[in-house]
Amino acid sequence: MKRAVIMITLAACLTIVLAGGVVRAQSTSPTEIDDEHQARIVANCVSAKQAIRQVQRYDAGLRVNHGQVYEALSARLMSRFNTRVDSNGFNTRSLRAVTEFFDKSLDEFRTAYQVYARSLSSALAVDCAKDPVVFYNAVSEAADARETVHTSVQKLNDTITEYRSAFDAFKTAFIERTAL
Amino acid sequence: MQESPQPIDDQQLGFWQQHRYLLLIVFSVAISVVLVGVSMTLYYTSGAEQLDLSRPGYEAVAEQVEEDAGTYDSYSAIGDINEDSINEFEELFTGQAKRATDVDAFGGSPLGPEALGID
Repeated sequence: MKRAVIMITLAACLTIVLAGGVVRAQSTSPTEIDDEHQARIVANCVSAKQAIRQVQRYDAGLRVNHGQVYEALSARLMSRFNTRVDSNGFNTRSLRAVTEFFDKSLDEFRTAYQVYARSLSSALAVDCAKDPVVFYNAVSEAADARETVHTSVQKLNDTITEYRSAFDAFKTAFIERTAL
Repeated sequence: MQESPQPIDDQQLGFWQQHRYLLLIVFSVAISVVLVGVSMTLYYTSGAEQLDLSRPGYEAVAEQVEEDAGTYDSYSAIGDINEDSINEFEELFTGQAKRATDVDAFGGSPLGPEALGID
């Protein structure tokens, strides 16, 4: 009985270790690209790099503009409204909870953009004529990082909607209270 | 009677005293290099680099950036809460929220292999 338990435990540990290895191997192994595909990458790599540079410039402007909009929403509107409501003796728990979540999401957005910008620069640094596979994988990584930024933007936008709902609830409660 | 100062022979001075001006310059340069290194590290690691649109190649983008000071209204954190102040906030918030959500920022797949012609 004791031996069986030891065997099962060992088997479970081995499975976890092997599964971890497979997952790691899948996440780090580069995409296999045949010769024909590599030739296509080399042929189009100059125009691809130009397009990436355009995306890099466009996204840099977008990051600054959108970052300002989100920061202004948090610091100049949401936080100030919460403070004013709080100082007038109203309950701001739900408004504050959403604002805190928004600030956390804003930090995630900043970090995600940093990762994306670095991966884009790394992709541009690769000599695509010499290393088409490395270039392809670096571009794929940058595309994934950009998707992460997009997800963080959606999260921020969802949080804005949540704040709006919390604000509407507060407004309704306020009107009902003053009507009494 | 006052004694006149005697000139000091170079050989009487130690190594550090003999080369004090050279050492001053070397130390000053070394300190500057260290400080520049620290500031450049901070510039890259803090993410300031990505917001710096004065970098070469980003001049055109810098022109598209909205001026912060005039474009974003602030809500006062001090004052009473009444219907007017709530409506004022609602107006400001709606405008700003529209700005944030109107554009699908970082959407699409401009870095997809098809878009770049490397599929």
